[in-house]
Amino acid sequence: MPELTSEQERQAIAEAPKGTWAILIVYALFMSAAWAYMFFGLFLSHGPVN
Amino acid sequence: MQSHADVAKLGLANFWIAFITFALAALLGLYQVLERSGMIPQLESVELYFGSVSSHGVIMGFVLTTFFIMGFGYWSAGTSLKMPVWNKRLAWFGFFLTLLGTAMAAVMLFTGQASVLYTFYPPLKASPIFYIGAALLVVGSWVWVLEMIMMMHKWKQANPGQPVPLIMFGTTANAILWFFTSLGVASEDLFQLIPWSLGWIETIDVGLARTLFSWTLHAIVYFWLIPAYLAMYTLLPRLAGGKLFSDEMARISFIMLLVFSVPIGFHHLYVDPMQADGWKFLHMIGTFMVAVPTLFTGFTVIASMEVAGRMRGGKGLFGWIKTINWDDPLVLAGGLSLLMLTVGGWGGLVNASYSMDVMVHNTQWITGHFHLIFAGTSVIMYFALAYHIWPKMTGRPLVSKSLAKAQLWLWFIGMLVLTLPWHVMGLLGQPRRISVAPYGNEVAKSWIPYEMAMVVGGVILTVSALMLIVILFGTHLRRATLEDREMAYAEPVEPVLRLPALLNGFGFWAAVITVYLIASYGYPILQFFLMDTHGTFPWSI
Repeated sequence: MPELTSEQERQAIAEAPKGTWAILIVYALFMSAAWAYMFFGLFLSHGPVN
Repeated sequence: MQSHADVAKLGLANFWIAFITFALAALLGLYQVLERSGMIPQLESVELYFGSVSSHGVIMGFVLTTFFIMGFGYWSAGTSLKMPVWNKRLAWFGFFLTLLGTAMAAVMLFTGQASVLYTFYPPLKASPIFYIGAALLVVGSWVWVLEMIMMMHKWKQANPGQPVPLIMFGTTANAILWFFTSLGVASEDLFQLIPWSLGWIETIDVGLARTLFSWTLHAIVYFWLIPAYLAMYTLLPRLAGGKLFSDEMARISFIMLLVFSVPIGFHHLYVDPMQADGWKFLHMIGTFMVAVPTLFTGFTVIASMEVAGRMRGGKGLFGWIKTINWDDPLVLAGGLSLLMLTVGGWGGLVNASYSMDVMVHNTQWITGHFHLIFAGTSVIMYFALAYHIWPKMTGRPLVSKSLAKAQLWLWFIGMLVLTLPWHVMGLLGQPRRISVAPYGNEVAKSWIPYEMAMVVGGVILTVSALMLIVILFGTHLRRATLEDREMAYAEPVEPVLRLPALLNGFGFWAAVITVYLIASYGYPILQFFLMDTHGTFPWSI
């Protein structure tokens, strides 16, 4: 693990959490797509219960 | 250090009960997957299976959790506030009362006199000793609730205007949440199940019982989850090599969980006839609201990990992930826990969707979902917390960090191997709460490969559970001593010097929950006293 200077550490802390936003956007897309698959792909396509 | 010694004794006593009973319940889980698979015909017994499922569920859902959370609470309070337990004798009285209740319920469960599953929905009927034991368990845990509230109150009196340490704020939020949510099951137990099982009343209103249990049944999940979230907010950022992204965001999440998670239990009653569609729809909206603090938590914890990764030299959009200190068991568990929360959370969105719920209702999908959220997301953090705290409580170093990490990985893998096939089996129509499936038709045959996977998952989980016990005993029996027994909590990126009163106390929020509870459960409960009961007294007395 590289040693950071105090200035580098301050910059690291101050940086916006871009990676976190990217993960959460991917997560939200995945959740929406998976929910839509369940609703439209499995639930509605199943039709009425006989 | 005296305060540490007191909370260490209380914490350890609670942890031992939690994990010994956990090991027992894990062995029952292995029996259940083997019996359910039908691989060993000699094991097949309906009575034994449902006795085992009831014991497994009650121990995991009520005993492991309550004792672990109480132990963690006492330890967190003592080490963060640096003050002794508010009333030590009362705290021990609460512990022994909870233990007595557990013992009474356990005897009935293990002798087949309480095979009513962990939801104990009537008309399934258990021995009155089981119900009285359950009541004592809940009342004993209320002593802990009082201790947490009083410790926070005393600290605030001694430190006017100072922000309550985040871990204590979250612990007290959880204590208050548990008090509010346990009122439902306590009312059902005291006013319906105990009188009915003792023969004081001849009949029982099943609809009212299910409504009261639903009061408890969802927020209890957050009672289980909040210690995991607390570890993610207050320990993980520092152990990962960084700082907490936002203290205030954590407090807002705990308040939102406290307010939103209690009055939403009707999504457990979507197909029950005694509650109207409108109420179910309102509870569905409330259920989706709980996703908000969960997302806040996910964001804040992942952002804290990103801060840690960048402080350790990580670059780029995702380069920080590999520089996080994954060598620490609690950090590893945090990552695995969030992954399981992702899958389990998706299943939860399906269950919570009013119309779509009928597709999975009462199927094995549900069992898969709650195992991922409870046994996966929450319990893996209990293990990691034990690995972090046990050495500090006992003064003996962890017996093997590698073994601890292997145990966590096995739990994660076993949980996925067990629960993902359960989700699929649910979609293929397998009901939950069945002992064997010897139907022999084409649908039942399609379950077979998934049942085999379920057995493999169950075996892996059992090995992992036994490893946990070996590690904890091994640590306890070590002769080496740990030099640094101080608990260090994560510091926020921006130090919190002052906070608005609403983010530093619960008086206002307790009033909000009360109003919200009355609004969402008032009439749905009152209707049982107003409706025509066909000649009998209301409430089936």
